Amino acid sequence: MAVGRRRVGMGVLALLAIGFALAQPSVQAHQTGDLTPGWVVQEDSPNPSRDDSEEPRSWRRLWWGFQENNNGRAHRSVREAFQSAIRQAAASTVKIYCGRVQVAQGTVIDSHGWILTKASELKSNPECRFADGRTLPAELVTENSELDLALLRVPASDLVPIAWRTGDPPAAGSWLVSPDTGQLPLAIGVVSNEPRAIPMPRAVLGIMLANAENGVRITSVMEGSPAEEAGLKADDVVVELDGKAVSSQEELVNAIRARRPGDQVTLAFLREGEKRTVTARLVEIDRLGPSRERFQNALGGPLSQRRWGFAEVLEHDSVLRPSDCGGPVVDIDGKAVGINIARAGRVVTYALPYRVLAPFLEEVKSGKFGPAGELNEKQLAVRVHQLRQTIQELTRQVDRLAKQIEEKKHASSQQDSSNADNELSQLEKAMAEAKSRLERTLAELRRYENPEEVSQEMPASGDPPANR
Amino acid sequence: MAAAETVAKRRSKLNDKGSLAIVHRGGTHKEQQMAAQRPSGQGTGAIRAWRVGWVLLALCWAWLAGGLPSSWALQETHDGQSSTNAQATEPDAPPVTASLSALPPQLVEVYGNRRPPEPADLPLMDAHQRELVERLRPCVVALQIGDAQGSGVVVSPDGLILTAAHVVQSPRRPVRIIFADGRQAEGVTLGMDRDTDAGMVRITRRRGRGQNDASSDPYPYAPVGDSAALEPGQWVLALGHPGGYQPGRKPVARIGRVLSVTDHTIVTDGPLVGGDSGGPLFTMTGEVVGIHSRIGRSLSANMHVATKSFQANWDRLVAGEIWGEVPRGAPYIGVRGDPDVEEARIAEVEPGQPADKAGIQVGDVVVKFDGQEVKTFSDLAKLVSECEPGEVVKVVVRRGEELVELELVIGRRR
Repeated sequence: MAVGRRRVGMGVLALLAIGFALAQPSVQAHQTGDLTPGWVVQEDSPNPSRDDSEEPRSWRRLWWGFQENNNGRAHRSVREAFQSAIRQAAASTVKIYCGRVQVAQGTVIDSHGWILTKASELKSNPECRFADGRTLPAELVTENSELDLALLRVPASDLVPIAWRTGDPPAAGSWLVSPDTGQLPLAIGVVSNEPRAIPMPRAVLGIMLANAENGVRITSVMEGSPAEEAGLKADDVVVELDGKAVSSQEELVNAIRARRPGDQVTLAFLREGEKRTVTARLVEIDRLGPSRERFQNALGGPLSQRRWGFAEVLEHDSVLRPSDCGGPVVDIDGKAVGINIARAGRVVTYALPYRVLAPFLEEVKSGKFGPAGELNEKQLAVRVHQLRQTIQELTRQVDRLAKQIEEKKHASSQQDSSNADNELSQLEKAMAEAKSRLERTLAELRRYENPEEVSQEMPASGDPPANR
Repeated sequence: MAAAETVAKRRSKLNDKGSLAIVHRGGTHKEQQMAAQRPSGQGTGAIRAWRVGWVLLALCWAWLAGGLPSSWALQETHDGQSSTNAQATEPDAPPVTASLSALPPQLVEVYGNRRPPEPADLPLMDAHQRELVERLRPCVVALQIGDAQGSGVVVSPDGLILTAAHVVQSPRRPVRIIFADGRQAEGVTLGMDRDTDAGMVRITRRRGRGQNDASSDPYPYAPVGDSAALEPGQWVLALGHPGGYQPGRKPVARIGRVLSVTDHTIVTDGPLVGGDSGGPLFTMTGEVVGIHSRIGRSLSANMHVATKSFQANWDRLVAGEIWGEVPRGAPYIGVRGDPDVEEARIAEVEPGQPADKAGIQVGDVVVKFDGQEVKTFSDLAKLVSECEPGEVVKVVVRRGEELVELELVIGRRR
C-alpha cells in the first residue's frame, strides 16, 4: 500500500519538476535534460523524483514511442532481422508471473525444469509461462544474493536449455538481442563497454544518531528517507534491529552498513516509554537529497531496484523494463552471452556474463540443490494433475474445432467464397496446433505414469517443443 | 509548493487560450527527409540538397575504400573549414577512421536506411560496429571544467575539441582532458554559441606521457562530417561518458537512428544521459555529425548539436567568441482547439508551424498522441507540454470517417 502511494507521489514529483523547468524561462531551458552530471554546476531541478519509477501510464507512452517510431532502432522492421537469431533462445526464455503480473523473465538452464531468474523481483507463488504456451508452477529452490539470481524448479523434463557462449563476452559495438517468448525479440542493442564490476553502494536509513542510556536516540530524520517513510521521528530511541538489541551508535551504523540497499529491516524503538516496531527498506546513500543524475536516469522508464553490487556485468544499451530482467541475452548466433540482470539507467542495461554464472551453473549441475533430471513425489503429483486437466481442455478444444470445421466446410461448399476458405484454413491450423499439443501432453503423462518406459524413451536433453 | 502553483497557473493559462506551443516540419516521410536536408538561407532546392546528401554518402564510402585522400573528402564535406585548421599543423596525420575497413555496399544500404537490415547483414554489421567503436574511442575525451564534467571529441591532429556550449560554460577557462586510455592533457575553453549549444576546447599541453611534454605526436582525431546530409532512419553511433568519467571505463557506445534533422539539431534514439554532454554522434563511417546536448522524457528524445552549426561559425568558435542565448519557450505545435466541443477538435492551424507541416487540418479531431488516447483538448495540451522540442511523435486524427496517422515534430514556442 505504502509502495503504491509512494509511486504515484513520485510520478507527480517527476511531472512537477519538468513542469517547473518549462514554466521558468529565466532558468536554462535545457535544464531537464542538460547533460552535465548531477553533482555539477546547475542544480536546478528543484524537486527531482526521489524514486526511479515513473508513473506506469506515462512509461507505457515512452516505451511505445521508442518501439513504434518508423525510423527508430527498435522498430519492428529492425527487430525482425534478429528473429532467426533468437529462435532457439526464445524456447529457453520464460516469463515469470506472480499473480497476474509479469515480474521477471527467466532462463531455462536444464531440460529437467531448472530455471534462473532475477531474485529481487520475485514475489510469492511464481509461475513460468513458456514459449510453447505452457504455464507451470515454480518452486523457489535457492537464491544467490551475490548474483541476485533465484533458482526455480518447475515440474517438467522436456524444457529446452539455453545454449551458452562460453568464451569471452563480445566486444563493444557487437549486437545483443534480448529474446521474448514470441518470435520477435523484445529488444536489441549493442555492447556498450568492457565487462566491469559494479560496487554495492552504502545502505542507509536516513537518520542522525546519538547514544542514549537504553539504546540509540534519533536526533533527526532526513526528509524523504526510508526512516521517515517508516514513521520514525526525532527522539525515538532505537533498541533493536531485526530482533537483536543495539546499545550504541556504532553498533547500529555497522549493522546497517552490513546490509544492502533494498533490504528490509525491522526496528524496535521506544517512544514516550512505549515500545513499538516498524519495518523499513534501506536505500542507497545517493537516494537521499536531490540528484540531477538520478532524475535524468529516470527519464525514459523505471529502473531495477537492485542494480548494483555485481562482481562483473556486461553493459549494453538495449531498452528493457525491470520486469524483463532474468532472461537470456544472446549474440547474433543465438548463443547466450549472459542473463539480463538489471535495468540500470537511461542508457544502460546490465547482463551477468556467462563466466560469472558458470560456477553457479556448475553447482546446479552437481546436484547440490536436488538431483537433476528427476521430479520429487510432490512435484510429480502436481504435474500429473496439471497434465490431466490440460488433456481434458485440449480434448474439448479439438472436438469444438472439429465441429466448426465441419460447419465451415458445409458452408463453403454452398457459397464457394474465398473468405470462407480462409477461415477454414485458420481453423485447420488451430486444429493441428491443438492436436500436436495434445499429443505432447499425452506423451509427457505417459512418461510419468509408466516410469519404466521413461528411461528407455527419454533422450538425455529432452525434446525441444515445437516452435510456434 | 511554489513550483506546483506555477505549473497549475501555466496550465490553466494554456487551456484558457486553447492554444498550444509547438515548431516543425513533418508531413510525409519524403517531405520530412527533404526538409531535413534543406540548408538555411542558401536557397538550394530541397531535392537538390537531398541529392547532394547522396553524393556525399557515396564519396565517404569511396574514401573509406581507399579511393580518395582524406583531406579532400574532408574539404568536400564541410567547406574546408576544419580541414584548413587541421592541416595548419599536421597536414599528413590521418584521422582515426583512415584505417577502417571499407564499408561493403550492403551496409551502405542498411546504415543509410535504404532498406531494413536482414539476417544476412547482421554478422557484417556486428564486425563493423566493433571495429568502428575501437577506432573512434581514442578521439573521444572526458572534459573537466571547474566542477563540471562532460565529454568531447578531438577533430584535428593539433588538438581541437568539439563539445557543448553548456560544458564550456565560458571562454578561456582551464580544462582537464582525459583520453580513453586514461592519459591526460590540459586545455582551454574557446568559443561557444548558446543558441545552438556548440562549444570548442583546445588542448594546450600534454600530461602523463613521461618526462618529455614536448612530444608533438598528432592527437587521434575524427573527421567532421556533413550533418545536413543525414536522413531520418540513418544509423548512428553515440560515444561519451554518461554519468561522468569513471577511471577504467572507456567511452560508452550506444547505437541509434536519426529521427529528425534541422540545421541546428539532430534528434536520435541513441540514448544519452548526464555526462554525455559534448560527446560525439558519429555516422557509421566514423564522421562526427553531432554533439550531444540534451534529452527529453522519452527515450526517443536525444538531441545533438548538428555539426553544421559548428561549421557555420568555425572561426568565431576557434577565436573564443561567445554569443547567443539559450533557446526558451515551451514545446509548441501551433494549433487552437474548438471550445464548443469536448473532444480535441482543431479550430485553427498556424501556418508554417509543426501541426501545419505534419498535415493537421482544421476540423481534424486528435484521438491519439504518441500512443496515448486524447479525449479533450487539454489532454493534448498536457501531452505536448511533456515533450521536448525536436521530438518526433505519431498523431492519429479523425478526419470525417477516416483515421489518419501523421508524424509530428514538436517545435518550440517563439
